Amino acid sequence: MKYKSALFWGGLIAAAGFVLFETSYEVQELEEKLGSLNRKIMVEQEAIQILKAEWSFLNDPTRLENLSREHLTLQPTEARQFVAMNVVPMRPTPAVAPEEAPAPLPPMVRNQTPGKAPNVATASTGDSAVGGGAIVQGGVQGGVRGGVIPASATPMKPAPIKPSAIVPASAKAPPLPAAAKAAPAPVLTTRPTEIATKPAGVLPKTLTPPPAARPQPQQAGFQAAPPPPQAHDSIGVLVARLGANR
Amino acid sequence: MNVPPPGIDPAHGAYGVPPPASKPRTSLSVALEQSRNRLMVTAAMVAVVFTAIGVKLVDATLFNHAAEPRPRMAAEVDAPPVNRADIVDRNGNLLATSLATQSLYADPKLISRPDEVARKLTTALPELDYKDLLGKLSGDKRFVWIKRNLTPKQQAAVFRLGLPGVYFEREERRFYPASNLTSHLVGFTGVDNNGLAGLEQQFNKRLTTDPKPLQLSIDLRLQHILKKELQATIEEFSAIGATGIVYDVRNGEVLSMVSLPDFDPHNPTGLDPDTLFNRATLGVYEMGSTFKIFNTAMSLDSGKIRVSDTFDTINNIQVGRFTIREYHPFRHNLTVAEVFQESSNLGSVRMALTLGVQHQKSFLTKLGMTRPTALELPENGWPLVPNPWREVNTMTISFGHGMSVSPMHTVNAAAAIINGGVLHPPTLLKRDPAAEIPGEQVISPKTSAMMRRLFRFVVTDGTAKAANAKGYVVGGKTGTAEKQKGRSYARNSRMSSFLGAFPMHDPRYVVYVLVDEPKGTKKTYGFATGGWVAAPAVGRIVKQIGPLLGVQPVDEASPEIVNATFINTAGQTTPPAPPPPPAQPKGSTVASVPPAGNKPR
Repeated sequence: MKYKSALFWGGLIAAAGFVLFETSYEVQELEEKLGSLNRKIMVEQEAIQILKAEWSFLNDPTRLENLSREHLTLQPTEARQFVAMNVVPMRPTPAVAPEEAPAPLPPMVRNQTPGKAPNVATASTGDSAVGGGAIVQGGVQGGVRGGVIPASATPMKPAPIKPSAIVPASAKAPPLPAAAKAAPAPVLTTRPTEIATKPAGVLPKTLTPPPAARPQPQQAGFQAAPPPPQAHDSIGVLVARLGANR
Repeated sequence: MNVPPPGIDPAHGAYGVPPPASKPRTSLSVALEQSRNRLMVTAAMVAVVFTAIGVKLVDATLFNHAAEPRPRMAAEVDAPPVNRADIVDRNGNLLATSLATQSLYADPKLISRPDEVARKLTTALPELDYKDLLGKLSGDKRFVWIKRNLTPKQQAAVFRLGLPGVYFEREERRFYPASNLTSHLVGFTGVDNNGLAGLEQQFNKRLTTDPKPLQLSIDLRLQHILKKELQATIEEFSAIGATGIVYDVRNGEVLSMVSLPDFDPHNPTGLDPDTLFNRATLGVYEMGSTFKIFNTAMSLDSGKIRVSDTFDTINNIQVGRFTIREYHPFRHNLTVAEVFQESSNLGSVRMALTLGVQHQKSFLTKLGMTRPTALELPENGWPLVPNPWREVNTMTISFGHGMSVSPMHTVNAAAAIINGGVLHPPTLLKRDPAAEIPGEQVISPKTSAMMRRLFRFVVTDGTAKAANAKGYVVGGKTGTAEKQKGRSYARNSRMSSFLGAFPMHDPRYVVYVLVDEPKGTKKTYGFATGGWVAAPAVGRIVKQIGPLLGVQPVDEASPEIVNATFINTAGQTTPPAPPPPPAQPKGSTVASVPPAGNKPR
């Protein structure tokens, strides 16, 4: 009996000793690992510190200004290029919910000539500069809008600007009536300068589009410039009015 | 434990009682008894020692008192690996940081062939001098620095040589990414990373104890714009120096402070010591007409002088051998508004004399003009205040001579004059938006509002038309002081300054420019006064910093702005009944949309 109990205790001590031994070695190993990780962290932090310093050095305003003068045509913003928020006109709310539109239109499609008869597709030249083709206007929607809302500046319901907007519209647009296809795309004449010369007070209030429909040959030099904002593109009009996009 | 020493049996101690008689005492039993007792004693001792060892073992292993603390924590990820905290601007751009570099040293005792080592080192580090290095390496010392703060490339080059007896030591080096742009503010450190100037010196303790970056109120972009314009002004007018300050009047933050010429904080020594001089805070100057801001504010705030009162500006004032006269003589007497607008010396003197010496002294003391400002820079100049303060001093101080203060004093006090009358202590540290801004009411809000009109008046109709930045409603006051050379004033060396503020209907920022010894140019018809030199610079600065500071440009002709800033020469603050035909429809706050018919730009 005595022998058994001694054996039991001895065994227990031996087991405890073994576990302790193992644990201590494990701890030692982990500590070494921790130490090496800490050293690595330090090295990385030092590298980050150097990168931060380099970033700041490269972002030195003096250097940036020289670079911008060399490579860009940007100039310091002038006071006249700022407008107050309340001058930016709100989009007129359509009297009829736009949910009536049968199908989502291509993003760049805009209603430009609501005075025309419904179901007649019109081509928008502002888009043609982007997409290189005529764009269709949804027939039903055109009818709704043309009939209800006199303000021609009503843009379509907010079209999400997707990359697809850049895809030639003809690829995306619903089938065109033949007449529309054949019709030459009217050239937009509202150049920023002309918009800018409009009486300042008129635009924000009513946003009556300038007589954009009259066709006029585009000037060769103007082609290279970014497409002029459309008459009902309120932000664009404002930008143009301020002469900021030249 | 009470253990008897070996050989002494408690039962058979020297004075012990004899064993019980019942047991026969044979020699064998005695010997047995003795040996058993000795065994017991030995066992007890062994037990004691082992217990002690056991206790100590438990203590050492489980409680771990004396042992070195083991690194049980992971290194902090956010803590910088250096001993000196960064300095950043208000937007978090680095202005000063510490980089770990390697420094090269040698133990000459371990170098057997110094000539070869020196030759190899000079090929890797061409900037070292061979002879000098050879002398170092063949010396008797155990430690010589060869080169400190190597770049990683240089370190690799030396490393590749594989020289024995040559070692690297990790050191820290202060690096200033913005370099000259903030040199007077941030200052610099010595080779052992102790701050020797600027904020590095002022916050030496803070930077070495708290690893968090020290955030300044400075905006690096404004700093750049200010420096660029000051540099241009110096070049245009062949000046010897210039200083500029952009200051937030609402909380006393210094957004930008430049003093030219400046220096490279990486190499501050061995240069022209003049470049180390901070004109914005350490330099004290006679401010000239900008002091009329304080003279006028004092007069209006006293209640004894109204803005429509007139003062004699025709007759010169004779004091001893001096004559106080106007820069341009006036043919009629001027109102207070005109005195400020036209910067009349005689009018200012008579206004100051109306109130007296003591009033002026206490007013300027209240504005903090007689002590260094609260700015956190070791380079903080003491004003030169007349002692005793006589009547003649009062006269000259009224138009900014006879008392020298730093540009920071002027800006700080002027901010209080226009911000509603609250003097905030200036600071270079970004204020906690939640904390209350310390401040002291020094003039009444009513006086402050009148001063704002007068500021604007100087720019619309006075001496500083060049400072106008359309849309930003700039106001201000020019100042031209003749510099004292020896004991007299030099006619042709001036300190030309302009203290501008914008937007005047609701002042946010003060922009101050002071140019040291500008020379007139053909373009300015030979003039080098504040209105010709400093005011256009301020106008250009405001145009550029306005958008960065988020100040909304307004239509300066709109009725609200005109109502808030109008004053005329007679001191009337109501604009004439039919306001000037508005170029814009009402309600429009667009600053300057090109009128119909004009092409933009």
